[in-house]
Amino acid sequence: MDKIVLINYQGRSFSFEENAYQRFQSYEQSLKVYFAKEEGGDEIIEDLQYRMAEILEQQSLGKTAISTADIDNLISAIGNPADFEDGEHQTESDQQETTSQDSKEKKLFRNKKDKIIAGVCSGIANYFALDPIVIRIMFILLTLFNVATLFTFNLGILGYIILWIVLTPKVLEANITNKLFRSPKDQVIGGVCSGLAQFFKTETWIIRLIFCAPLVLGFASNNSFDRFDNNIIGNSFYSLSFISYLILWFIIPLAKSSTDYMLMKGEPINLTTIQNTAKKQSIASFTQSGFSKFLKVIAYIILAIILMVAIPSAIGLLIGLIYSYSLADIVLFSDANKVLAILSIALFLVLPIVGFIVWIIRRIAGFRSSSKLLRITFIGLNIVGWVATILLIASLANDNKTYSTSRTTMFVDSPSDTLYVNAMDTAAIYAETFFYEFNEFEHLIDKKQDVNEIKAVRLHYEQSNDSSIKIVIEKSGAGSNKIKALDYANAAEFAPQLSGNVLKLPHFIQVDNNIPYHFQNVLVTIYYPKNKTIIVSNKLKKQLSHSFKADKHGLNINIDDDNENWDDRPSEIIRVNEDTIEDQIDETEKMETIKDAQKQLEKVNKQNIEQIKEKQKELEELQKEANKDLENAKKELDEAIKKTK
Amino acid sequence: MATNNIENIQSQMKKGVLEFCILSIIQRGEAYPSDITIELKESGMQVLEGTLYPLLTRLKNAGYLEYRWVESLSGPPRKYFSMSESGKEFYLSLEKTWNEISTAVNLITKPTN
Repeated sequence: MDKIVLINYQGRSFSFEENAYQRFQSYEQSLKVYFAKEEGGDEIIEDLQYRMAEILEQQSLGKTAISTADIDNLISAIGNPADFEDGEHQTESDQQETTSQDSKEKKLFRNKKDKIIAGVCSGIANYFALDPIVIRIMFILLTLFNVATLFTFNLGILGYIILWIVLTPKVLEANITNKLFRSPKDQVIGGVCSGLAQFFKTETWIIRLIFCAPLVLGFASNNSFDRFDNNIIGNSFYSLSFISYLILWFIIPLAKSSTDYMLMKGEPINLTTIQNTAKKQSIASFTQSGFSKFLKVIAYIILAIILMVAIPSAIGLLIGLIYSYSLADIVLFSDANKVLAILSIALFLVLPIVGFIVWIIRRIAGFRSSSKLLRITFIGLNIVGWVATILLIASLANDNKTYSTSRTTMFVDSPSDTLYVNAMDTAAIYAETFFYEFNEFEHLIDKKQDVNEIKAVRLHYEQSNDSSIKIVIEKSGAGSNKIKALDYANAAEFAPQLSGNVLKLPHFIQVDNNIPYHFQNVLVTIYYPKNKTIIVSNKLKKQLSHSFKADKHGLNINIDDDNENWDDRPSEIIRVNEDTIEDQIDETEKMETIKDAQKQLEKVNKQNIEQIKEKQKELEELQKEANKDLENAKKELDEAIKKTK
Repeated sequence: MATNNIENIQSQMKKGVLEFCILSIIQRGEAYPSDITIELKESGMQVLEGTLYPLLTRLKNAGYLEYRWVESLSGPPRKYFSMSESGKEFYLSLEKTWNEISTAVNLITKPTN
């Protein structure tokens, strides 16, 4: 005899044999699946549920429990979804339209049944026997892409409108067994990846990797290849995978019922499969399709690339850390800090990389499930790393929280108008120490027998109103309080030599080995009055070009471009009034040209006046001659008259 | 292929008639779905309740049928279907078509000697 379960169904209580109840449940589920897409499907299901309760009530009369035979009777009365498939198609209320499944020829329609705007996407999906959501996503991506690229017209929207007009609407039956859902069972963020994996019948980690790869590779390319400007690719992939994940998250529905799960896995929905899923939940059985194989190959390629990037960068990081140990000695100083630093580097930085590599290798080796022990150890150690990092940062921050400066002033006591600033005689021109800069600090701090030479000297110039050149040397340092900070600042030795009009500056400060590095640095400011000139030697400038300093605003490393040819540069000459002299020259030149112009103008005027005068004289002479002629003519006339008289 | 076609044609033939028969039963007076199935079965038309209910719902949504809740002796109230005004018109036009078809089919299949 079977176990008996007491069930409250549709407001009535029934006692079922356990097997009978299971069969009833899966049958009810299959009805729900069948009518889910139907218009008014909920109502149909409600009616049927009501009717089933009624039948069950009749059957249970005079019985202790409902048996499987009773359920079989019930099913034969109401029918299996497969049985009323025909009747359902035939009674479609839209009389004039026949469904595409009847005709062999497949045509593109707008779907009247499952639509969001006009059923275009759904229709296309039906044509290709795809989940409408796939086409919708493609449409949205196309539209967004067009918006992003500022296309003159939007292909997605335009295409949609054209299809809306062109295609005839029609009620289309769902012809898919495979639907895209987000999977809540196996989710990290939104279950998008595992849902996609189910859809493409592949393993979840492959889809996850394809989504994560742009992030990982983008990150790697930003960090390890920053000398090659190839970040554009990495960055655009970054955002692409991120945005598409978000879009998918919002668009794809979450699988809720076991029907959804079956649609998600693409299993045909009928009584047996529902019973199977009810019993064994989900045991993944992957039938490898061509596309899922393709995805797998892509995944392995990405893994290979990540390995190729991750292993060298892990090695590089390790080498860098070993090299900078000498630096750590200077900066961290206290043993407690050193232990913290080692812990945080090992567990916080290196461990994740190692863990990632281990994970990939396990994946390739074919371990499906991750070892619990391994995971717990990993997480535990990483937490220790976090704590160590935080403690170390806190300790260092506390040790350097105040910043203090001491100041000394020197006056140049020389009649000369020029101050020469030069490097120390003993100092070598800056020498490149490493074939590759593992650590930029490396050549900024030199460890000597008793002292550390820190290249933290800067040179500034400022104009002043004094009569002579003034040199101000400011030593700064950080400490847990003002006094300590000042102590540390003064502990830095910096001895410039001033003789006559020559100032010699060392390009580093010396700090005793016993005193930890507390961001000591020196700022030399030269105040130069008017009409005085400062000439800074090329050698010193080159030395100072590699320096760093720390102040209230943080750490500032100043490394001039190595490629620049310093030897070709002239010594820097700093002098006041240069600009104004040029201005004066300009003005006198202008004045002269104006005077010249005026003179020329006067000359031209004089010439003109002379010419006019000459012309006037000529005119007068001509008039005189004319008068004479006239008088002569008169005289002749008179004489002639007299003669005639 | 051939059997498939036969089944297809058979179900096609049944399809329009079924709807007509159901409407005919309801047209006579308020009916309870399972009573409709019983009546159909008795007259030799097999119909599954799983087919009947969706059909009723569709006809109701199309405005040809109306329903009301009727108190029953055993258990909760039942959904009884009756015909609306537009349903009556719809039924009349179906009836007309049926008469035409049945006369035509009779004439063809049983030719007068």
